[in-house]
Amino acid sequence: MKTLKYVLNRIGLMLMTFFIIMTICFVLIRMLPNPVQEGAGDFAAATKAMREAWGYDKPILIQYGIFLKNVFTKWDWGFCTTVGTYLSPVTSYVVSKLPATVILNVYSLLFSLPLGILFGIYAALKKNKWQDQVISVLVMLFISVPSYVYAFIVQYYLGFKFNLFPLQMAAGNNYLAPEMLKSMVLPVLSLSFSVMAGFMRFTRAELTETLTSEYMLLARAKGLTRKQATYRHALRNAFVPILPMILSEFIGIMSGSLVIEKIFGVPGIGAIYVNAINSRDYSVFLFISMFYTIIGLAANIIVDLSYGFIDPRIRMGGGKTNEL
Amino acid sequence: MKKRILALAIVSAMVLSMVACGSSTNTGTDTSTSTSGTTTPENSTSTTVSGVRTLKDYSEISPKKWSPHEWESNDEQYILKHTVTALYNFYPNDTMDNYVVVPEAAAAMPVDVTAEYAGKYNVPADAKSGYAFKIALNKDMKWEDGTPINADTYLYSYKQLLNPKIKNFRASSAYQGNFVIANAEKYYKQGEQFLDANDGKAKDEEMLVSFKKPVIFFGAPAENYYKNAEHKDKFIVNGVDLFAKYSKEDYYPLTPELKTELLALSKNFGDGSENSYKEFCLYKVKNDEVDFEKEVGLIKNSDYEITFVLDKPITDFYLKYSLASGILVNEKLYDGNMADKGDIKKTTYGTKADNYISYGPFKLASFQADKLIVLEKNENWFGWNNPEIAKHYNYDRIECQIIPEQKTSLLEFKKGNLDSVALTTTDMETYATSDYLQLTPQSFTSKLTFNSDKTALKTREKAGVSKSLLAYKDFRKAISRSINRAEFVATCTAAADPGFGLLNTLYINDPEKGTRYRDSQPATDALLSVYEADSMDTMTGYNIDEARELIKKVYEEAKANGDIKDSDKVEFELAVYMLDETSQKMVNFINDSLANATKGTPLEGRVSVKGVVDQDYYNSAKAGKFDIIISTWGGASMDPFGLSELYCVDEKINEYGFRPKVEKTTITVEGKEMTKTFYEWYDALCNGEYAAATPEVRTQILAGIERGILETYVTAPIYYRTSGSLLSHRATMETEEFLPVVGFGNAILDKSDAEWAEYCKSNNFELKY
Repeated sequence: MKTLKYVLNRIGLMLMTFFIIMTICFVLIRMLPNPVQEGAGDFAAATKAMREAWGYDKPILIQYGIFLKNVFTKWDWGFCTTVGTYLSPVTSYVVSKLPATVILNVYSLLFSLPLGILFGIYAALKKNKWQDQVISVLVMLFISVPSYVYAFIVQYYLGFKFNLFPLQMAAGNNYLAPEMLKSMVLPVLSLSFSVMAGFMRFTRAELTETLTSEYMLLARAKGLTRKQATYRHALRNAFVPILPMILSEFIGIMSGSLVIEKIFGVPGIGAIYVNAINSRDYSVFLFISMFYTIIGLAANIIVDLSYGFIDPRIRMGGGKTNEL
Repeated sequence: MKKRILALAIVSAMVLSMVACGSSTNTGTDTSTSTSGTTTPENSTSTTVSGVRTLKDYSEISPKKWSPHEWESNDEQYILKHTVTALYNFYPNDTMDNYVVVPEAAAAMPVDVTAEYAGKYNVPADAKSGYAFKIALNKDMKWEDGTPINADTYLYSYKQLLNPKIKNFRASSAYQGNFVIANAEKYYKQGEQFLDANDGKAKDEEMLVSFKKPVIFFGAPAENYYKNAEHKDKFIVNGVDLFAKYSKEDYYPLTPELKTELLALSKNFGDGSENSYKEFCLYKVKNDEVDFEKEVGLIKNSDYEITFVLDKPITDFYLKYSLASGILVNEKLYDGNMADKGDIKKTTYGTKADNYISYGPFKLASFQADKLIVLEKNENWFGWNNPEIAKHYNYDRIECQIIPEQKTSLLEFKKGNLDSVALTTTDMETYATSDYLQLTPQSFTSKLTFNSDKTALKTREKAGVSKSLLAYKDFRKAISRSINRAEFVATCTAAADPGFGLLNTLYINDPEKGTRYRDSQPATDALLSVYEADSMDTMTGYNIDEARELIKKVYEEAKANGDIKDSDKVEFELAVYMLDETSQKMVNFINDSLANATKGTPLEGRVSVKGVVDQDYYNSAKAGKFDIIISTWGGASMDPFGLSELYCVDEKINEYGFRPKVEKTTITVEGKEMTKTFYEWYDALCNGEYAAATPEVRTQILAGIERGILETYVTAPIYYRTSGSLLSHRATMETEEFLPVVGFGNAILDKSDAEWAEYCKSNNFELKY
């Protein structure tokens, strides 16, 4: 019951935050100058006429009122103007761009997550030995070098010089087709290095700390083998902070990488947000902003709740406090 | 527990991936036709069919709309140019040294029937030619589904193009420039309208001031600036908040008191010009309703014959040239995809494969936004059965990949997956001597544009920094003389040529003869006069000694006027869209040139030019909020006269401080010297007494305008743009020489896809260029 109340409270706060962010985004993007470029001919006049007809010259608060009415009565978030498929509903346009990004991120996670955790565990178990040093160097390399550098390297060598993979993601929607899978290898690799390194470093740090804790000493003193103690106690405790990180990564699969998607020709969502701001596509900007906002806010609640499920010690205290 | 968590994570990932795959097929908004599973050569996205030739092309940007009525950019024209057929088309001639005009959607050349329409529509009663043209239509023209195209299709398409309820981007193509259909503008603009007052057409007493509607001064409603804390105080004039005072109604009549307040407000924003009040004003016009069928100059004579009646006379060439763009839309799809969008109606015609239909040599087989465009041979196109037309098309399919990253496109090209690739400045260093290099001249001239308005420059100054020197003509001239243009293009551009004129060598002043404006005597004399050179061959535009003398002279003058002190530094901002490697090179070059020019002058070591990013720098220039920009104009290479609009009409020019309606120039026309303002010269050349004059006379006037503008040094041309690209081992172009109108013609592929795949394989997918 307490948990339900807590969740409802958080959802209420989330909706309020969502509304505030939406208002700020709506006002700010429309306050940016959006001049029409004059050139030869009467084209600028046509653009101005279109904008006027779309209500872009009305006072911002009136525009906001119309926008809210359309969203709440018709689920109409507007249509694409300067970004995306001209005049198509912004909702369907953004949704149509998600699959390529999501699938790429999912493959990247499925590749990098197990490897990252396994190498992290291995490094922790081999702490300060040469294996650990090698992994640490790799971690530093993968984290400090930007992903687009890897992208160009793997594209040039694996895609061009050795001709092992296509240089770009294939066209079409069949993401499970062999040609498509093969064409996704290079972007997946490029996306994976930093994620893998992140998990390696985090897992190693958490597990190292756990392995040196007193309860591990107690477990060993009680007669458990090192393997048993590590498997039954250390790993389980080390995963308390790691699991929310995994959840965050999965929630983040819907955000595209601008640079990687550009290099490998991925028709995803990566570049849309920046393009929408640069070319003042109000509807696309606002819908994507709010789409990611709601995901982010919901993710916060899910991650917070997940602590309680993973570790029973972290649960709602039923109003109890430590105060005297 | 751990196993369960990991399993949950993996299952979640799988579910998400399945959802992703499923949703992509349901949305249907992005990918019109599936193109998956097509590969060749190895790892590419094309299909190998024996004997088929596929032109493997690419574009950096995915087209958003390609309706003939709505397209804006070249990227959006890509699909259009392969899928429409205009009344007349231009191809290279058989000797490959000029163009030839071929009737395509028309059955024959136009017939001048002006005499039949004299005194009707807006044709003068005594007009004998140039106003009305009868065109027989090609009865073999069909949409890709086999439906015939006839006169009704033309009437419907033009009516929709000009439909005032749709506000098409390309509507003005029927009423501006050389080809002005009678009453087309009146039809498009029927009803009540508010127009910007700085177009010079309204008197002060007709003007209405608005703080609620978008005005030129702000480029938006005043409210947007008023609500910005940085600008709010600027609305206070003599202790009165003008926004609060004038924002209760939409419009207020312009009174002398309000005009004074607006001038003060404008000054607060850094604009001290005497006409700035007009930028806050609109004026109302009410156009009568127009009946398209009865009053607009497009007449159906029979099912396969139409007549165009024009508001102003046109020559034979410009008529065919104006009718060389496809304008037809398919009624069923156009209307079927129409919907209310705000206060107007819009159609999504030409935004996806399934809401577009071809009537050109190719049809749109599939379109995946941001990824791939596939065009296939349109078997219902009459041109495939006409050897004279078909010979210009050597390929059967076109695959255009969308590749935003240039490095990727270069690798794809070297792997054999593209038939051409554009080169960057850095690439040019590698491929400058390649046998496959193709240099394509462009009509664009890049220039330094200066802010010459002292008031505006003063507002940009800060303590110890002077910018006012730019207001001195001789100082701007000194900058122009300090730039070694030949060295500039070698250092900063991929393949450009040094530029001296506002118009480059591509502009044709007499299309009937194919002569170039730049080669004409008046145009040559203009440049020789401006750059004080003896011949075009020896002209460099560079004279460092003269630059130094001018700087010394200006410095003393400015000091005497209080515009600079001995302790002041001179700092100029050169605004660019983005400060990438190329832009930075340009900024550095200008900075170094100016530093060199100030050596031995009182300004030695005190002048600097810094690059700043302003993605809206053209509009900043129009508002006087800049020091220097690199501005570029081009396009319409067959109409150099029309381009003078960009330097002679207030709302078009970027050269802030230059007043084309005030400043005058003297031009000798047919031996007679005449003095007019720049605007008056432009108006006479394009709309008035010289609009139908001989090319020789018009060239004299255009050269006079060009010389007059260059001699003010509000702008200094630097280079004429040229793009560099590589053609693949199997590709050539129809002509080696770049020809007017047709350029190099179409591509020719000397290997089929299967042969090409084999060739690439034998080269290990690493072709040498």
